[in-house]
Order: sequence, then C-alpha cells, then structure tokens
Amino acid sequence: MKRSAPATLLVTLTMLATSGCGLTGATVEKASGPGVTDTQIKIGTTNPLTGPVAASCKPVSDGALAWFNYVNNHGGINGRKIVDQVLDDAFTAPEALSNVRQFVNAGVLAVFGGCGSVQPPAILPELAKKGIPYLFPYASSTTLEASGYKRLFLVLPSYGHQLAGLIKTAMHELGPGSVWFANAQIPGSDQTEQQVRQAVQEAGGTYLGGETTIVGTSDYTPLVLKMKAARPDYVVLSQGAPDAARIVQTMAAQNALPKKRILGQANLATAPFVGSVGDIATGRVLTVSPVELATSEAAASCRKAFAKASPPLTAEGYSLFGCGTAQIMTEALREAGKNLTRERLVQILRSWQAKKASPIFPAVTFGASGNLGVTRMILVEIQGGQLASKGELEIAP
Amino acid sequence: MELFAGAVISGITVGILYGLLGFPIVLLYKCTGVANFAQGNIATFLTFVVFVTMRSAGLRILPALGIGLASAAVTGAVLYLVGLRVNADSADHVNMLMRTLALYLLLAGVINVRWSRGEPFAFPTVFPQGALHAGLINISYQAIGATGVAGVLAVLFWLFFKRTAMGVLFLATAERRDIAQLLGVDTRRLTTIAWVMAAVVSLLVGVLVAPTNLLAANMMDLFLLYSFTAVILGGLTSLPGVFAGGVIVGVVGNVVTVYAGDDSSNIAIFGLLLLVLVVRPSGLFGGPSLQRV
Repeated sequence: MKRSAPATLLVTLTMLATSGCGLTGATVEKASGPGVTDTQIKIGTTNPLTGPVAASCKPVSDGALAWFNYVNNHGGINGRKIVDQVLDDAFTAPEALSNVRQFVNAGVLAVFGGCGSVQPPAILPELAKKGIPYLFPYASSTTLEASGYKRLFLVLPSYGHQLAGLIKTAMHELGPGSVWFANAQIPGSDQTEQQVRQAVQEAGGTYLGGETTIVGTSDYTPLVLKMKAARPDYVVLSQGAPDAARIVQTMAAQNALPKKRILGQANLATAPFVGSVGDIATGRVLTVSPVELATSEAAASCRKAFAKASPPLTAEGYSLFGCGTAQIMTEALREAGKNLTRERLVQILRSWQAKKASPIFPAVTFGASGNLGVTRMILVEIQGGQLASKGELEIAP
Repeated sequence: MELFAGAVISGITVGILYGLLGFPIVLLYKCTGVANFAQGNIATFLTFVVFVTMRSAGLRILPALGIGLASAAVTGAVLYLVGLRVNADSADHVNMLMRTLALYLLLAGVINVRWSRGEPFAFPTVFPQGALHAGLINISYQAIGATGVAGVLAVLFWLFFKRTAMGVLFLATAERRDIAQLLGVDTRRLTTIAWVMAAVVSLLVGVLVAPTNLLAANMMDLFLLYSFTAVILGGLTSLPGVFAGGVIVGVVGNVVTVYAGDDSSNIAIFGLLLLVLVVRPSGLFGGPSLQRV
C-alpha cells in the first residue's frame, strides 16, 4: 500500500506513540516486544513502489498486504491485527536504509518482505546492529545467504543456486550442451557467474562464456549477435523480467534462439515476462518458481485474498510470493502466541523442521543457524503463453 | 568480420533512433534555449496513451496512432503553456531547466501510478513482421521502417526551415529571440508550435522503440541519455548533426559492447563525449558561438 505523506506521518506518529515514547507503548513493552501492543503487530516493509523495478516489485508487497488484510478481517493473529507499513525505496540502497531507520525509530517487530537484489545487502548491517529480524525478502543474493545474521530468514534461493539446479536438471533431461550466459550486473553477480560455470561443468556441459549486462540496456542486439556467433545449445539468463523479455525478443528477431532451451531464474516465471514474450517462449524456456503456480489448487487461499483486495490483485509469480511469505509470517506469529517478542519469533522460525507454513511454498526448515529455509523450487516451462508446472527440483544451497 | 559488420549495422539503426529523440531536443533548444530533460518521458507517456487507447477501444495500431498524434499535439501545447510559459519572462535559464526536470519526474510519476503495473508490455509494430538477412545480423523491417521515418522527418524539417516563412521565423527566433520580438514576431506562438512538433516527434520515437524494447515506464531512460550525448556531439543546434551524433553513439556503443562488453560501452560513449567537448566545444557540427563585444 502506498501511503500519502500525511498518512505516513500519522502512521509514524502512531507507531512512535505505541513503541516506547508514549505511556501506552511503555506499558505494553513489558508484556511484549517492540512493535507489539494488545491490539496490533507492527512490521515494516521497504519496497520499490517507484523506479525501474516497481512494476515487478509492487505486486510483492501488494500480495502480502492482501493476505494480512484477509487475516485481519478474520480476527487477526491471537487477537491482534497486523499493521504492515510499506515505504518506497525506489530500488535504491540509500532510500531503503532511510526507510529502515524510520522502522528502527518506530520500533517495529520485524522488517518483512520487500523486493530487489540491490537494497537488502545494504540494509542488513543496520538491521543486524539493532537486532531486528529480517524476514523473507524477494531478494536473491549469495551475500545474504552467507551473511551469518541469525535473524535473517530467506525463502528464495540465490540466483546462482537457482540456475545451478536448473542447469543440472535441464542437462539431465535434455542432454549436456554448450552454454552462453547473460548475467545482469547486480550485487553478487560475480558469484552467480561462478556458480553457473561450475554447474555447467558438473553437468557435463561446455561453458562458452557470456556477458554481464547493465539493467535497462537500450539495445540488446550486439549482445545477441555475440551469443548467436557462439551457437550455444542453452542460453542462461540471470535478469529481471523486463530485461529478460527484451533479450528473448531480440533473440527471436535475430534468429538466435538456442538449439535446446533458454534457462532463467524465477523472474521468468512471472506475468511481466510471460505476457510480453508471447509465443516466442513456448517450448523454449525452462525456469523455476519459488511458489506454486497461480492456477494451482495450492494457490486458492491467495486467490481468495486477492479477490477481496481493493483493487483486486492478479495472482502471478510476484504477488503470490508476497502472499506466500505473508502466510509464512502469520503462521510464525500464530505459533509465537500472545507473548510476542523478536526473540520468540526467531525461536519459532528456527524450530521449524520441514514445516508447511504456506500452501504455495515448499516445506521450510531454517535449523539453528541457516538463512535459507527452502531447498526445492517448482520447475516451470512456458506453453502457449502460460506457465506449466513440471514438478519440483532440488536447489542445493 | 561478420560480428563487426553486425555491430555496425545494428549501431546505425539504433543510433538513428537516438538521433530521432534528440531531434525535438535540438528543435526546442533552437527555439527556446532550454534543453528539455522531459523529452524521453514525453515519448513514453504518449506511447502509453496509444497503448491504452488500443486496449480500451479495441483499436489497431494505426487508428490508435492517429488518436495518439492528436493527443501528442495537445499534450505538447499544454505542457508548454502550463509548465513552461507561465512567468517565463521573469524566470532565468536554470529555472526553465529545472521546470523540464520537474516535468520529467511528474510524467514518470503519472506513468508509474497509472500504467506501469504488469510492465513491460508487448507493443505492435506499424511495419510488417520479418527481416532482411545480412550475414550474421537480421535487419528487421521495423528497423528499416524506423530509418525511413527518420529520413522523411529530417527532409520535412529541412524543407520547413529552409522553404517556409514560418521556418525562417523559427530560425530567426532561435538566432536572436529579442530582436525577433522587436520585429513583431510572436515568439510565444512559435514556441508553442515547437512544443507541439516536439511532442509529435517524441510519440513517433516511442512507437518505433516500443516494439523492440517493450513498453515500460523506464523505456526511454537510457535512450534519453544517449540522445543527449548525440545532441552534444552533433553540436546542440545542428539538426543534421544530431542524427550524425546518434549514429556515432550507436555504432561506438554496439561495437564496444561486442568486443569489450556491455559495461564498457558507456565508458567509450561518455569518454568520446568528454573528448569532443574538450577538443571541439561546439560539437562536431555546431558553429562557434560568437558574441559582439
């Protein structure tokens, strides 16, 4: 939910008043942790609501808000309503950091969700310094996975891990082959390239090289010509949905589609990609999704929440991720019980063993110290402009 | 060699589009002395208008483009009359420049709020599908058509400035606005017309770019950067120069991308820009700015 400036001020003042600055808040602090009153659980989300990835990322927070509203309208969690304050970071680290400082001042229980691979590594040190849990961002980063911060919980494997699992599965089913890699320049992209190279070698393929690309490049033709000259069996894409779509469009225009498949991380299992590439992708793209597909029975509860949202939300990869992580969040809050603190929330999440906390996510296990809770994703292909599930695949962390 | 030729050809085709977007920037600069930062987002905004018209009214691209061109004319006039003209006489150059920046941000905000959900969007081409094969590269009819449109516009504007009375008034206003006013030229009316023409050309650029780059709120962001580079390289006031500048930017960018990587192409392009500004401050095709002392 994007708030107006007066609304943001009101929410901030309310949060300040109930998080230790005011008499009521001070009283509640004794019974529960920061961000928790008798009637509310306050969490914060920093998310690109404007800027280059807003169209992909806004549905993530919209999906989560739709689920929280649905839960609130059905009595809330242990008698408390969830209040998720969503602030715009415009896909920039400084804005995200500024948002986190607002959350710190307001005393939220946790920072939840959000989207983008640029901001999370930047805000993590601030959250770690204050001991604030950071839960389930749509962020794929080896930096996050290896951070060691025990209050960080991830349900989206890094792009490198996603692609490594996908490459091994594709080469197992379709045979080994040569690979060309188009890798977007984002934090951790060097590690992604190493993981892809290693996975290709382990699967018996040949790594032909590739190109690191700038997000939003105006003309992908030279990149695609280079790719075409290499004559790969597989093209691997680690790109946001808009750039991946532009590259695939250009590949089709240059008659440079690979002999076997285009393999891409989870951003390709989303409406922005599928909707804009049309039939080009049919039978040519293999990708992975962290959540069950929109048409599946498992997604029924999210679809129901989306239908009641105002305006109604479309169920697709990004919005379902938001909804699914909100379901995991509400399950953890429910288990944490009435005496809700940051410590208690972390303790609950750490205690989960193969916990099916959301119908659309695979079972979750964080263990004593790990940051990544899932080791399986949905294998997806595109047929006739639609996503089709091909079962699950192992993503080795 | 095939790869090099492909990079050059693709550089020329995209460079012409950089030049085409730079064209209205030069036009407005010549008429008003202000570099319009909002040009890219005007193109995106108007392309979204065409897209929304197609979707909501169930129209095909050509009729929707007709409505879009009329909308572009109105939009150009409104943006100038509301955003630029009010208190223009008492505003200095920086104020006017900041107004175009504000327009850029305003349009970006409107596009984000109104239309960006679910982007990028596939956008139909006004040209036939298919391509000519030239070695490694396929030159799409879309790219050929864009080059043709750029050529036609260049000739039309050349004729307009050289062969029509209004065109001569434009040039006179651009050269010495104060003297033109003293001689009774209605410079405000001319500037309004310049904004209308700039908006119409921007829409054409947007419609030419969207089929390959997909319609999105940030579709023209990098284009604008390269177009400004083309404008400066070409000489800021030279209409033919902006096309030459665009082609230079396109070819240098694409050749460097092929041989040194995407991230190196910006170093080459903006390094070249700095070099030209240092060695030839008025650009490759611009004349020196002379002042009587």
